[in-house]
Amino acid sequence: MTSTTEGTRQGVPEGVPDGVTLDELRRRAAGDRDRPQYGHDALIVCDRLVRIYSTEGIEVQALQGLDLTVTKGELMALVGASGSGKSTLLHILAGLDVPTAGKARVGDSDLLGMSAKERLRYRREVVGFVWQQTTRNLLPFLTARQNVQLPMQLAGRDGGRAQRARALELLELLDVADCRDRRPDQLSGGQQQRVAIAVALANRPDVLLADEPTGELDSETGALIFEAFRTVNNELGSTVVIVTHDPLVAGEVRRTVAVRDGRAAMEVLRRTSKDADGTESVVEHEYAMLDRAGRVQLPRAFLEALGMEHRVELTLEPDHVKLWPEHRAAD
Amino acid sequence: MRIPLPLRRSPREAAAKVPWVRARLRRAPGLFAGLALLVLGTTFLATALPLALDHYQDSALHQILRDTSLSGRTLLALPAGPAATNTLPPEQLPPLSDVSATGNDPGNARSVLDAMRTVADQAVADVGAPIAIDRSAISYGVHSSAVGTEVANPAGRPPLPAPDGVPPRVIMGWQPSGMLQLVAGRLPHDPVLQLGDNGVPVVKGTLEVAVSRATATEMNWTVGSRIVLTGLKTPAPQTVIVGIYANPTAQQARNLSWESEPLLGAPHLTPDQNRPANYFWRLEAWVPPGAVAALSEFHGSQAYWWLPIATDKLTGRQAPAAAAEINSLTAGDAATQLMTIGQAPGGLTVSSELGHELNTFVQQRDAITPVITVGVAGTAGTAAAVLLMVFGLAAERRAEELALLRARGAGLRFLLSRLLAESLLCTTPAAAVGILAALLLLPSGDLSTAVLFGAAVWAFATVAGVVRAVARRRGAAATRSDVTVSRPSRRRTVMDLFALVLTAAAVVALRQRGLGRLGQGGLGIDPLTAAAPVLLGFSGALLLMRCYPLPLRLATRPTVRRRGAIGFLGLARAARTPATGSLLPLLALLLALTTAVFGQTVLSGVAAARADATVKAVGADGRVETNGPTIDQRLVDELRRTPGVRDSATVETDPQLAINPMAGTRVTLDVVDPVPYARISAAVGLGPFDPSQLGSGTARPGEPIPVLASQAAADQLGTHPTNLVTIFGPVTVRLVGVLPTTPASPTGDFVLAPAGAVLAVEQARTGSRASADLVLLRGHVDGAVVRALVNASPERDVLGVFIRAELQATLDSTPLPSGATRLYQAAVVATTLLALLAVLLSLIQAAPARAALLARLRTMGLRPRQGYALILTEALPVIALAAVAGSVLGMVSVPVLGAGIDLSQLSGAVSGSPADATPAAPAIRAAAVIGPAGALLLLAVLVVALESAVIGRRQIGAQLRAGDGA
Repeated sequence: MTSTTEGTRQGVPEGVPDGVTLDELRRRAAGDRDRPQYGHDALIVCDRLVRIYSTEGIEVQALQGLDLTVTKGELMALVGASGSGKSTLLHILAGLDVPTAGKARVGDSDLLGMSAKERLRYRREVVGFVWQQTTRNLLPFLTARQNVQLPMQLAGRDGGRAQRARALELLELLDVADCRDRRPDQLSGGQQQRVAIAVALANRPDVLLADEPTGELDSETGALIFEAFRTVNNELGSTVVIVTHDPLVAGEVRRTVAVRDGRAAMEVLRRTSKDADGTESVVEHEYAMLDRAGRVQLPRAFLEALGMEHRVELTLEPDHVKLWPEHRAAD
Repeated sequence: MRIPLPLRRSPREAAAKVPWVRARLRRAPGLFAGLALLVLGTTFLATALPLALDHYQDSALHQILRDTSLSGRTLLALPAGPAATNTLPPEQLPPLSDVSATGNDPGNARSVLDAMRTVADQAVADVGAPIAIDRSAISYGVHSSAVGTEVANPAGRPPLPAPDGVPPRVIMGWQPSGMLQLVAGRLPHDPVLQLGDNGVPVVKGTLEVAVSRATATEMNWTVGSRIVLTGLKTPAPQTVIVGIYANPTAQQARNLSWESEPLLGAPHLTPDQNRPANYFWRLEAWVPPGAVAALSEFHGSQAYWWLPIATDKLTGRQAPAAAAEINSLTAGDAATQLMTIGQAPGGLTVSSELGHELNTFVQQRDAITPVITVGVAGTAGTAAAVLLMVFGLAAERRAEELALLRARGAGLRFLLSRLLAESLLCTTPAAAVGILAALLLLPSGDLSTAVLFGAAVWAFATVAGVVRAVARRRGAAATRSDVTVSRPSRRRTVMDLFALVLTAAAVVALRQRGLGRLGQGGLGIDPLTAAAPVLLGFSGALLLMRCYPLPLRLATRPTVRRRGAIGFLGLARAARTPATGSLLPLLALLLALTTAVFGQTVLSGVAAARADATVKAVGADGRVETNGPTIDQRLVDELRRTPGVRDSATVETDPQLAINPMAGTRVTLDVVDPVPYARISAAVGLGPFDPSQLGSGTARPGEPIPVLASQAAADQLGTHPTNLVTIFGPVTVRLVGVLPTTPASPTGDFVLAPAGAVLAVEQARTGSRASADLVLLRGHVDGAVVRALVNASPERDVLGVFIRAELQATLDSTPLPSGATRLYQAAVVATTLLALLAVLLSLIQAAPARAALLARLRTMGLRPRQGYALILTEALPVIALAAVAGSVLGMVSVPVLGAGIDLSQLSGAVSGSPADATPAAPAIRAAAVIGPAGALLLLAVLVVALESAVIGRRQIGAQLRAGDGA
């Protein structure tokens, strides 16, 4: 069976195929309702997430129906070119920005429908984050310990003594306990970033978000920071989402999602497998994302290699789908 | 990995939460100190303002009352009975049986004293608040009729001095003897009294009196001299001087006892009522209390009580109430009450000029207050804008920090409380110091209003910045707010429109009603009209803020295509500054400039009005005129040679020239020497003219004499040759021009004629020429020298001297207007300082970011000179725009508001009566407009130069290592 699908341009709704009656569509919609909720078992669920900015009177679609699920305890990386929308996604997940349309859920919190009060609670208890600029994560006039203690105090949890103890504990966990009484300007970039992770973890968040946490650091320090994330992921069981450019980081995580043009485009999964002789090797599988409407975004390299434009020809084989450039079909 | 750390358990620290205020204070002590200083300054000003207003009004009132005549600061109480018996009632006097007892009876003296004192006490008791009588200085006494009794020359002794042949007259008077200090002889003893023909007691035998040393010297009297009295209905008692007392010292002379009876201290040359040119000596002799009952013998007697008003306790605010009380005392309820005082026949009547003085004061003050309020309102608005700007900038510096806190889950309430605590810690001590300092430095007036003003500023300073910072942090995400990008919200549009409507309403109200008082009571200044200049500045600022991005964009466009990078970079950065960084300084600057320019205009308008008034009054820098026929030629020459006189002109006047004898109107004919007179006219600016218009000097006989005239006189003269009858003789004149005014007759209508022709007519008729009766002087005329010359001349009594500088000084020192002017000047200075502060702060605030940028650019090869240019192009657009727009607004506000503002009260009036002052509207003056804006631009350039010099010297490396923290 061979079917040809018209290549669609992004943002344009898919045309209804000929010959489908209204009744047929209704039936399908009813069928959709009975299916289990998309990503019902995941911690972070983004479903057709749209975010539109308007700057200088021009509308910018930063997210154009992004789908993403992250399960609990995962350590994943988001990669993508500048302007691909990954930072917007992170801001939305951090509760700092509100999506324009779609669904976004973290744990039990619906990021679209939260009231201001719920949003505040969400920021206090559900997420913690680390920004790229080392100086932006910490208040300059507080010591490292005080910086870690501050979110706990903002959340109003525990007594002062318990807060202090937890702050020191976290600093110890991240190996910066000796810096506890120093202010940020007395810390190195790596130390600052590790203190920032401690701050982000202060309220035992379900999710730890990090926006280019190694961006301003040299590779060695970057590796240390990444190690800290892994520690956090292992020891505390926190779900960690890292936005990064750094191929080193991307190579260290089990799952990497590439965001392109406001959509999740590719996903790389890594598995360690053992050979017969016992040597460990990392097996990397690269996947294109298939969204719920059945759309697949092909990597740009593929498109260029085959000169695919506008239309492609699809054929369904028993266990895979074949894809040809349009001119081949015309030949 | 989780190893519990041993906790250092210092109890304080263990329980301590994350410090906030302390940590922040330690982090930026300079910023805190600066803010505190600003709050200190503004609260001080706000507290000082009502105090200074009260203080200047109080001191003006006190000065007015100090300088006023005796009756302006006292109550004079007189018995209300018929004049002949205007003395103590018989029952108050020692019984006549006792009167026969001779000698200095202390009981007798005391009873008179007691009676007088009782009446004084009762009168004082009837005086109500806010008039307070200074009891310690009350003066009372009894004297014989003020006409005095004629003193005849004693037989066989040298005649008494009588300059014009009129004999001296003596008044018999008694006051408590405590004021006398004998230098010779003794105090007089009480005389023996007996009942006269009409039942009035008279002195039997000898009346002993004492006189002052000045009187004795003038009259050549000694102890034992007799005063021969004549002209009495009854036979005059033998009057003998038994004591001579010291003249009052200059200090004593200011005591009410001496001041109210100056004749007791020294004789006075008085013009004769019947023949005013003739003077005679008036004297007063002190008589013992026992003689008081007999004083009516000397043409009647008069008891009097001078009740001094404690004017220093009277405040400007009490003036209306005090005037009402005086009114009540002289003609109202209290007057009725005074009538019932039994000890004086018919009670007492009170008279005082104080009521009039107070009413004049209140009238003048009420006219001045609105103008002051305008100035002060401008300063207050500017101060508010600067405060808002400063706190806005301070909050801007922390925007990132607050955003982080919000992102970490800080609630609005948390932010609010922390920021408020921080703000309170900064503003409260500063405000307390400011308010206290103001209260200590200006300890007068209404404390509660002052504290209220100070507290209001404190509250504003505390809350404004916090609320602003928190309001901007409602959302958690940080967004950029470039000036050229940010679009005003719909809500702001409505608010802007509201401000515009309010401004229009204020301007219309001001133009229609003027800066009048709203309603009748209290400090009823219409807040709308008083705020008009501020509102005008505010609306202008709003409009400019909306338009500001446009010129910036336009200016950027050509720089994009030019080769140099500096212009483009600078303008792009100017456009990229956050809205708070540029728009609030713009608002502060505009308000400051508008009010400063307006204030300067008012002040220079006042100065001009004063100068104008003095020129109108004097006609030149100095003026000597005579009531007699002419001024002595020698004096004229001396006046011309007075040091400082650069130019002079003599005029012969005929003040009663009738152009048309039928019409009956009179004008002044000023006969002048055209060339010097025209010079003076031109120099003074009163009707300058070309001297050749008045002919070459000698007119041929029969030909009409060319004259210039004022408009009204010219209308009567017409264009045809007219025959005039002048005191110089009949002349035929022909009008050659019309002058608005002329130095010889600055007010009133005049005809100006050349001396040569007119005096030739006179010479032909009488054989002599009139000489000058008016001398006009120009230059730095020294009033003292001119007066000395005039006083040395024999005609001194008929000569009048008017010096413009003296008149100007008088006007400048009129208490109320001069105080108001000073206050206004202070307001303008404060506004200008605030504007400078705004510029300085906005420049300094952006300095760290600029330093980082410059350092980066220098690594790419930017030269220091280019760096300087870059800072200038970045910083100047706002300031230049504000300077231009503020000056234009200030200038516009002058004609727009000027019609509603009357400066005549501020400038004071030449004649002293405010009603005579002509309304004066402020006019635009270049210096007033350009001055503040120029100072501002100069300062900006200076700061930029300084900044680039400082940055240039710094190591680039250090700057770059500091990173983006700035």
